[in-house]
Amino acid sequence: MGGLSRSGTLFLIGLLVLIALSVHPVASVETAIDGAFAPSRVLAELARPLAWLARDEVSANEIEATSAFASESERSHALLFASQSAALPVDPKLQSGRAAVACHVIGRHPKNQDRLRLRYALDAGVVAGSPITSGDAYVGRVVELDPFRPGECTAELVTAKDFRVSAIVESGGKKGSFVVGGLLGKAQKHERELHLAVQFPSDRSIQSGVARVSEDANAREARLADGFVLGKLVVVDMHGTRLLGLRAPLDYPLGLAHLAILVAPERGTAGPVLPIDPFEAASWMDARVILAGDPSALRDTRRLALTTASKIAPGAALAVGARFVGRMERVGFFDSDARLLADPGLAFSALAKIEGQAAPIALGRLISLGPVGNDEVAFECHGEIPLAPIGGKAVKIELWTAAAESDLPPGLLVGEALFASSEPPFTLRVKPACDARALHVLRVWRGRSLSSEENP
Amino acid sequence: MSAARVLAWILFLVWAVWAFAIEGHLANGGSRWVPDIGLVLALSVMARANVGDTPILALFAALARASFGPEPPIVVLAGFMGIVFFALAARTTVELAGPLWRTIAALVFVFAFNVWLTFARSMRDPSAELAHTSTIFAALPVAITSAILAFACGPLFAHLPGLTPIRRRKW
Repeated sequence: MGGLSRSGTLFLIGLLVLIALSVHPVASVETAIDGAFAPSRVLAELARPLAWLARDEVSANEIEATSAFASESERSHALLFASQSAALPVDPKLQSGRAAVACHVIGRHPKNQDRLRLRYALDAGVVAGSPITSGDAYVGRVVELDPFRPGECTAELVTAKDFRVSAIVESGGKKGSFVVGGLLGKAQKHERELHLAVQFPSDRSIQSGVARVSEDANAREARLADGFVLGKLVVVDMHGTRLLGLRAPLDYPLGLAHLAILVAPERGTAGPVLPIDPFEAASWMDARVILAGDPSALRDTRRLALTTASKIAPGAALAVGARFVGRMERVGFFDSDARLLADPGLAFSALAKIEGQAAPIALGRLISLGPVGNDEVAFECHGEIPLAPIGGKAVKIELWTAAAESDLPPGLLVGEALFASSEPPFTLRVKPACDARALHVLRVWRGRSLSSEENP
Repeated sequence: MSAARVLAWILFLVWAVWAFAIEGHLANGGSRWVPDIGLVLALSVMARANVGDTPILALFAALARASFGPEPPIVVLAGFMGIVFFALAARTTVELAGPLWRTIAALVFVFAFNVWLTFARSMRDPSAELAHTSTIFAALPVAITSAILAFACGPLFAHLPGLTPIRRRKW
């Protein structure tokens, strides 16, 4: 380069511009360069003979996943019903005078984690103001129904700063009332113990007892939540100041998947109806893998013959039979990129079915740390797995996708892991149910189909 | 540009596509001890190419890699252009086509390229939390196997059929 000549200097400037645009992407430049690289889609087809080499292995993998589909989808439905049933009120007093509509989380507001999007069966009588519960615990209330997506609504959690709900507590023969809403202090990321803020207590001498919702003076919908548990009243030391707070009965940031919406008894559905069938054929489409491999040593991805015409969005789930294998990363005009389970950074919400326990547990988001050996994938988990003392012996858990995102249906089998009790965050080594590396066709989640909306 | 050179660039593109495809196919077994064949091919040709040809070589290598990899094309292009820049700088003092230096160059550039891809990804998606030490050092097996491949097959790659018009410098 001869001591950085004029052309060398120009090259260096160009390189620095490319680096800057790489780490701080500008949409218009990205689009232009993606367009310039469009011929790479055709180039990829040059490698098609390599896909023929793996055909025998492909067939074996696909046959296995397809033959297990019937039994695995049956197990998935049983798991979802168990999870949904666990979200319904247990106390007989809380079951009468109201109906509980099954729903599940399909997302959180990106800038306000206290706002959830929920999906429920159509014609379930849900209205703005309907309370949201989980078991006997109060969670929040519906703030608005989505006029464009029937069967979906936005709900606000009791942890929201401006949320208010009236409560009563009885302790030592005394009865007190107060208002609950928001958190005591600022919630830290992955904080284990949250306390709900107590305001305007009628009797400050009451410092213990179980607080329950009491919305006697409010609208009919709000009163449906009367009696549901808000938490245990405790005195919390906040930087030297002793404040009343409620120890939250739920893991609001990570532990919400299946919930119930309380509606007037005459408007509810009979029994827990699943808001969605994850295996409805119309909700999936096939996509061909262009090459069963990836030149990026630190990634585990696939190039798919799927275009924007498919109306698939990044993040959509990928499956083989009833088995979850990854998610879409990018959908382009000419092709798409898919991330498999072993791709570091791939995240999804999971349910854990623990050996010997009936109801599954929501684990929150699992984040892939990459492959471990040849047939396991490590995942970072921030959720808590409540286990009885087992003397250090590992128990087998089965992982399934949980309801938390609209582009990831709940109830897809992820794999198995051995878990020995430990404090979160911990690493789970999962043996995936399906080795997607050798497959040449993947199923892509398109979302809830029209037919399922008409006949949930 | 003569027809022979145009054909040579097309053939380089085809060889590069095949190199990255074979690399992806081998990596499909789950092992990280798979060399970056496409990058070693690009380095082998680059060591012998005219300075003016090297940006074209980087562009074609990026195009071939973008056919299979998930990284955005701009990131791949920046990576290959960076390699060209440093390889040309190195070429002014050492003979990159020689056995020792082509081995060292492959080790360093393959490692740097993978670190760059990881760094760019973590910058573009801060929530991914990828750029920690263990992720970066996971690139070492690739760099080591690539160095071995460059040592053993560097001259072979540079002399693949059809590449003679690009290969101007003496071996």
